[in-house]
Amino acid sequence: MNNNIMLDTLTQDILAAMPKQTQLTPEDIQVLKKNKEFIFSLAGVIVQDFYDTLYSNEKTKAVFKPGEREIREKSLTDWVVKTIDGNFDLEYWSWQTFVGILHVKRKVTNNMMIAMMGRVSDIIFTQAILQLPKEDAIALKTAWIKLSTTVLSLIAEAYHIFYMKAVSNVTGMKQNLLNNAVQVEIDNLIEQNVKFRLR
Amino acid sequence: MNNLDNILANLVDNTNSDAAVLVNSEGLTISSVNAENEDRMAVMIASLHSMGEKFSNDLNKGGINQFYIKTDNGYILLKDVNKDTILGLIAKENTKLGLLMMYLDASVKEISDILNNESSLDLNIRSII
Repeated sequence: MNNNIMLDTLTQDILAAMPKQTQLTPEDIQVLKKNKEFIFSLAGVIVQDFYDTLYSNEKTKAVFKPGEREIREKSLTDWVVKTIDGNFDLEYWSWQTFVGILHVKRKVTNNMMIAMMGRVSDIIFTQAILQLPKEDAIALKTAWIKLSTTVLSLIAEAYHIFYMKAVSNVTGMKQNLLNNAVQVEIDNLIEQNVKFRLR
Repeated sequence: MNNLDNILANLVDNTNSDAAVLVNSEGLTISSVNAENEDRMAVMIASLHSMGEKFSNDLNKGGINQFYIKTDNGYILLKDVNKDTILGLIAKENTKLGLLMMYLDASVKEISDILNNESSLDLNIRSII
């Protein structure tokens, strides 16, 4: 039995669990392509703000090695460029899934990633409201939310799956055993935090 | 009590042990005697077995057929019944290990005979989910 997780298959599985209404439509992709120049004009501001924000917080700053900001800024710029090209095929989505594996390696946790995507989205929405006709700004907001939440879903789910896969590979515990172990413990964890449960 | 329950009960009685649990490799209980928190014991037995087997394989020592842990207050013994079934025995500190091993081997043989004669689908796995 092949013990490897096929990235394309995993990507398709993750996307399949997202309702169609939350995913990009051909019309959304046209909106993104129409606003390609607008988004690209914000790339410098986004990248600068992104790393200023990360380096302003001790926990997010700790993710970086000394002197690597320039390399990371280029990576984010490349992501923006490739993203606004609007070629949302399986290879693009699988690339986002792969980022989830890299985040495990680099200890970039999902809360950090989701918070920073919110920051990027805020810059785009604010500038869209200021610079674009109202209808275009609304359409761009809808398309960008679908795009960014799909990216977040792929990275977050891949982070979880590959984290568990690493545990499984090292310990020899198969996925079903890990799932059963979690089920045995999860009720205890709920009980310890029961005051937060809605009545 | 079914035949498997009887075998485990006899094993616990004959060895004056605390508990015995028969589990599958996914950590689901097939049968147990005196097992407090049976579900947790089942996943722990299967997990220990998986880790031991992986470690042994990584060291090129092959698979494992027996797992022995000496604790402050006794022993935890795991023994393969077949590739998908493990018998766990929780024994007291003052147990006679040689005798215990003899009973453990005999119980594994009896369980194996039963399992070989039953379709795995007929086994009453006590699902924890």
